[in-house]
Amino acid sequence: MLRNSFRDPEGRLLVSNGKVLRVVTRQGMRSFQSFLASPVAQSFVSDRRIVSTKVFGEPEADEVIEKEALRPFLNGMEVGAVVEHERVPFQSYPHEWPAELLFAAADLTLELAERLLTDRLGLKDATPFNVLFRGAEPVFIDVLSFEERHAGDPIWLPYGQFVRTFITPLLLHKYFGLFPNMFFLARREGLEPEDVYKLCGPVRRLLPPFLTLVSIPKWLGVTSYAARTDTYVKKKFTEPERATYILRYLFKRLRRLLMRLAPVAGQRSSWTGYMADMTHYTTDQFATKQSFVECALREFQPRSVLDVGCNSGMFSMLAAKCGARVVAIDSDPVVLGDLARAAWKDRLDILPLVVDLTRPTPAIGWQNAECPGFLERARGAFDAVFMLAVVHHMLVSERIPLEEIVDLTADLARDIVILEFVAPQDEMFRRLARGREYLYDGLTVESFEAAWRRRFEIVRSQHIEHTQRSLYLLRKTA
Amino acid sequence: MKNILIIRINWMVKAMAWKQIANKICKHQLREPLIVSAIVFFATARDAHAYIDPGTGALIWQMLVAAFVGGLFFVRNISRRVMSWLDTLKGKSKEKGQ
Repeated sequence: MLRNSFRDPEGRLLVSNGKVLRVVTRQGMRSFQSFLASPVAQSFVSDRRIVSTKVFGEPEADEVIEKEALRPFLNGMEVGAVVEHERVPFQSYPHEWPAELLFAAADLTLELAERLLTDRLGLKDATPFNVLFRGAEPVFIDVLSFEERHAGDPIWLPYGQFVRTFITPLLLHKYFGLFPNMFFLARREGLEPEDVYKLCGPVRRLLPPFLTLVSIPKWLGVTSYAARTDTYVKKKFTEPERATYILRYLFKRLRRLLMRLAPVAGQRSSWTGYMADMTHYTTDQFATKQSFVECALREFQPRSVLDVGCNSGMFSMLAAKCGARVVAIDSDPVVLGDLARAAWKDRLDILPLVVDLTRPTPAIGWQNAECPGFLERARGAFDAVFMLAVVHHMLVSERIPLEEIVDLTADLARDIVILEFVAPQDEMFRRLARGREYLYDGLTVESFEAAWRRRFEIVRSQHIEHTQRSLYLLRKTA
Repeated sequence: MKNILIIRINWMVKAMAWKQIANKICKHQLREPLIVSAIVFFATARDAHAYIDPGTGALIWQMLVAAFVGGLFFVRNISRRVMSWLDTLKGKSKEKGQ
């Protein structure tokens, strides 16, 4: 059962038998019904940008609750309706997203806030935790986040949260080269203006966009007005036309700012040149690798693939073109950003996440159960796992024992694994080992194969001509 | 470090202020209410910052911008009315001209 839905008095999200069910309380019915009645909101649902809803009204709602045994989780709430949502295949969180995905989530949230204004509907909060990804496409999941707006209300209350959780991380990405996954783990609620203020020098603080986003809110935050308890009470209403004008101006300004902060291609990191500058494969050798993977994909037709150490995502794209749903992980956010752009361009179902398999994302939040860790979500979730030229990194740089790598891979994969063995004599391996090759004297092709045979059978293998590398197609047996 | 200094200065000012006031009370000289209130105002401690929601600064800024933009809206409305009034004038003068 999901443990992350407990804050909202208007409803609770529960997962039962693979079904995602939202119980809406009587308190929340009014906002929920305005959401259902709003043409703009429903157009987002039909575009698959808001998660689908199948509503069970009064009599059926109780049936569903009894059938799925949800009563003990309701804590005496009065039920208004039960909604079934489609299941998003792989949950991911802002502390795993490359900057490009955070930008896409911000874009969707802002567009929702802008367009729902026509139907007098608004967002109660603006946080990246309201967005999940299908491939690289964002989908808004919190349907109870919509509320009716008073026609004369010129203030968008979630503005501060939007700036803190979306704008500020993108600001730090553009101007300081920091990546969102670096600080979302520690600061789940994003970065306050005060935090960024300290990073800025005395001149930068006075320049846009930092002046209005960081410095002025920080300076206003210490005035005595900020300490008053009624600051958040909505009291200053004006004529509807004027309120709309003010809000549209605010959204236009935010939209222009967001576009300015959009992550662009062309960033460099130590891994961006890897595929292009590759000297350890000739074209023929690389073609061998490609056709090996393609044959395996065609033979086994996996529906879900985890590509570990995906780099530019060449093999993720192969898998996606063969019809699989791909989650591509790597420790470098820059290459993942490029992969996100490629996925958008070619409309491929690839979800790029910043995850280092040797130190995967932990479970965080209340009782460490609100956002489950990466391994918890990934175990048994993939038909196929690709570990192409990545096992030697885990063996050498992270010193993980081979047996444990085998066990973890067997947990992650349901069916097949495509593996690339890099022998200790290989130049790249020796570069990683850096003088400590004696540690890998026992690592031979035979010992490598024996380790994997514990949990898998070797369907076929292929040695890449003139290299110290071999490809393996493994099938899980134990 | 800076915080400790500020707190210390604050206490010193407060102590001096109360000493002044106590002196004046003893000497029946409490006839400068303006000075007294000034001393008390500057000597009063600031609110506990930890209880202020940091997002409040952004909200206040949004309210200020909203007020300013609301003013622009008002100005725009007036200028539109003036423009349309001018247009009707032009229309009338064209009619007369023809």
